[in-house]
Amino acid sequence: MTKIIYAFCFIGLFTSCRYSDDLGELKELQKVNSSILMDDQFELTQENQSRIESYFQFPKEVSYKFETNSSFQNYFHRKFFRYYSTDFCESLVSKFDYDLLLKKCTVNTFFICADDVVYFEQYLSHLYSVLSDQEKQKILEDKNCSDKLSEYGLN
Amino acid sequence: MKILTLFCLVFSGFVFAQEPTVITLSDVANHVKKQNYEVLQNAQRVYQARETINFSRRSLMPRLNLWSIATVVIDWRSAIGLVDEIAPFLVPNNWLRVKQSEILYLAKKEQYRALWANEIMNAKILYLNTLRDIDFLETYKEQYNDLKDLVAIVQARQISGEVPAQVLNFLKIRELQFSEDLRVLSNLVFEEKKALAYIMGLPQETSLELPPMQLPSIEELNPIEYDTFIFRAISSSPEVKQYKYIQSALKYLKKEVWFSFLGASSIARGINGGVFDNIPLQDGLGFGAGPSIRIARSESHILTIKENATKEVIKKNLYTLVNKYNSFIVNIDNQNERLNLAVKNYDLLQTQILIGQNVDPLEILESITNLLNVKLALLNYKYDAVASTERLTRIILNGDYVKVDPILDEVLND
Repeated sequence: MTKIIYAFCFIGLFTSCRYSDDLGELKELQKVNSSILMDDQFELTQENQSRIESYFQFPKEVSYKFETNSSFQNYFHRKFFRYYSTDFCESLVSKFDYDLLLKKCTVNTFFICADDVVYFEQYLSHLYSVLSDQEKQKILEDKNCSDKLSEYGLN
Repeated sequence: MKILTLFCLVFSGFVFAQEPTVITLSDVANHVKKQNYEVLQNAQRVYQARETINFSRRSLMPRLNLWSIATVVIDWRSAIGLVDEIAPFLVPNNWLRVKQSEILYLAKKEQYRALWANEIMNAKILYLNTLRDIDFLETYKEQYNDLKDLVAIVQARQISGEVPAQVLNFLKIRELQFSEDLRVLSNLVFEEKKALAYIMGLPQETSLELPPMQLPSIEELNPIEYDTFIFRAISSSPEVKQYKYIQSALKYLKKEVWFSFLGASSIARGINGGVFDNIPLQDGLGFGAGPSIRIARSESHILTIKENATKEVIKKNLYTLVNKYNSFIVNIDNQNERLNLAVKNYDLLQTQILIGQNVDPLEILESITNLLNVKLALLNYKYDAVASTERLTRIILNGDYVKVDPILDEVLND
């Protein structure tokens, strides 16, 4: 019986660590944001397109995981305050830059960037809606966060 | 009185049946989205795939089987062998099947998206072809009238002995040939309208009316570049995305092999589950596990090959489209000049006839035919340019081909 309990504890430990990579990705996004989106000279080369896609894919993947995986939901809420830092809002593209990107992505009336760029606002809005009141409060304490989110109409 | 009412009903039905339904190019996509038979059928398959997820999730709960309970009552130790019925959630492979059905559902949605977009494109191209053939028909009619006038003139000149009889006969043969061409073209337009009604999911009794559309001024179009569109073409392609989903479902199948020592799963993978039918799984971890994994790996290679092949097909289609589109822009002056010269030649001959000069009737016939061919070529050219733009829009899923991403759809629905 003791062995079974140990086995369950081990499984629990294993599952509680497995999402840390997903949330850790946030820091990587900050690099993308500063290296591409903030650069006035940036062009829509295939390489830049891929980097933009990976940036905008993140909220989509987290949203989907949130909806389909209850253990991820629990993990997310449980670890939120551990992973949350003001860096998060630095990595968030401002509405101004986002609108600029949408314009750059439109060539001869054709939209040429990844689908995830178009749906970004919807994913962001979904992610914000799944936060608890305490979590929202924590985010809004930071003025940068509060300003950026209100630009998206989320505050 | 009854007869009169019946007559009125039949007559009104006849009148309604003849009422033409006006369809514009922008209406086509809406009809296909809502009523196309293939799209509707496939939407049902997507619905089934979604319900399969629910089925798989609920299959994790205990099932009631009286005979099994009776066995347990007789010998409680037999409950161990019935774990798949009493506590299916204890079998890891059941969880893995749920995961697979969730991912394969997304693959199914991507397949649906591809079919949906292809049906819209086929309908729009058919619409353009029909409209082009209607324009051809009108052009043919104009030239046919010119030919009839020529035959009347030559007939008068033949009576006065200015033209030999064989020339008149030859012209009459061409007139009859023109009439036959008109019949064939009218039938083609009729068939195209029926095919268009079918693809839009409209009843065959519907009489379609296609208003003329404003064709683009090709001289004002800007050349396009392959590099601008290739990223979007591949990244948004539902054909490519479906393979990514199937690949990720395959990972769970490999896990199934290792967890088979805790029992095999009897839960189906769903509508798309058939893609893994050729990968054998043992009920329990045995010596067959190695070959199972190797077959799964080979299946993964096949999926990668298919994905690469699909990407190359997209690239090929895009290269062809960009080349064709740009060639329209480069060569439009040539087409316009051809028309200009043909019209000039025709007008010159007409003037010569009017002032009473002796013009060879066969030369006039040649001029009429030449003018017809040039007009048809230019029309075809412009419709081809519109069709190419439509194909480009489909390949990069813009405009009418935008369909919400399957994952967003899930996120918002839940």
